[in-house]
Amino acid sequence: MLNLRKNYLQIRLIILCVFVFGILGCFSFKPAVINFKIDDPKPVKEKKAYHAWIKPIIPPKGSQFDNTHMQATYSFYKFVRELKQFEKVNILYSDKFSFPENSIVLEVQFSKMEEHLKYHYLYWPLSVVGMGISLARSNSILGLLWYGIFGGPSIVHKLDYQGNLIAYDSLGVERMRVPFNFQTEFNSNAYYYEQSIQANEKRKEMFEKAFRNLTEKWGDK
Amino acid sequence: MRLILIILLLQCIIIRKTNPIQEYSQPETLESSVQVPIYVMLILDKYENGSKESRFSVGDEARIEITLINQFQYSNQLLKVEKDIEKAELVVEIEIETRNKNNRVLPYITALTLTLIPFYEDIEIIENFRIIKKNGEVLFQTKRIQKLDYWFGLAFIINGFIQ
Repeated sequence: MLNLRKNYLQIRLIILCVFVFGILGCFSFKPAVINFKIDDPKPVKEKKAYHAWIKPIIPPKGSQFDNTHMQATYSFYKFVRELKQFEKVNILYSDKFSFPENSIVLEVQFSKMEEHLKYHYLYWPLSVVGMGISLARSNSILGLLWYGIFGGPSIVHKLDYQGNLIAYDSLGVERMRVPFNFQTEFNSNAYYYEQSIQANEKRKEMFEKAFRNLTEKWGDK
Repeated sequence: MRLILIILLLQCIIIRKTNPIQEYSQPETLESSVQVPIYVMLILDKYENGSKESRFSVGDEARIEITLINQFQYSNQLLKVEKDIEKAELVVEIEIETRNKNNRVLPYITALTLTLIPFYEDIEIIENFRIIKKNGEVLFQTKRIQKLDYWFGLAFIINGFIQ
């Protein structure tokens, strides 16, 4: 009997700790590791008779970068390829050769590349209350699942990217520089709308916008 | 109880089942082995209902890359693998896309009906393999696609036990 009481107290203490730490986690953003992938864009109608070369992406110092810079470069390469704006797209593995005349070299220079996350302020209270109700009514923990099914947000994700999209011609002369300053915040849910999918879509939005600006300026030249 | 048994029986009869591990009729081979140093770039992309995920962890990618590099070396086709891209003369690009299509509500229905209504999804695996020079000239390329479907339900668990 004493043991049972002891266990019950321990469980209550654990739940209290989870509640307190969970609520504390709602107030401050913590740096997140960046897994840099970009969702595929919709192909554009207007095509350019250019051979695009993608320079390797080098993340700024201090950014918590999960995958290697070559994989990030490949992700950007795939984005440009799926845009279907250029006749041919390649990664610039080596710059020790002369480019064909119709070449355009694209470079993404990041000055800031940060992602942060924190718990949504409704996550712990509502999921714990939901779990409590389901425990009391049906002796199950389905309340947490129901919270997920109805799309209750669990995590707030913040993206902060700053940099330039630079276009060089076949002689290596800089022709255009499109700055981008992208800050966004979104909610995600572990069961229903996933954080990585949302982040990939946001990165797609950022690059689509930068490319639209680049193409508009291109027409003026 | 009768209804449950009828549903289970219907699941076993109606649902087509495919072998989850399909083998390709013929593996692709190079005409001659590549003697120059190569750099291997492996890209794993997973799409869920058309959106790209970042589910593959770095550890998974590294493990698959090691397995692939070992396979190249044992097959005597791509011998010298360089980790530094500057030292490599050729680049081997391997792009594997897994595209899953499913109903987003179905997992919950499957869970809430205790798997009586099965969860299913269509899976398409697209593999691109290219050997390119650093100046972008493609030396060898091949593409293969396989379509699978994945089912999960009580009928299959029982079916598995019987088998």
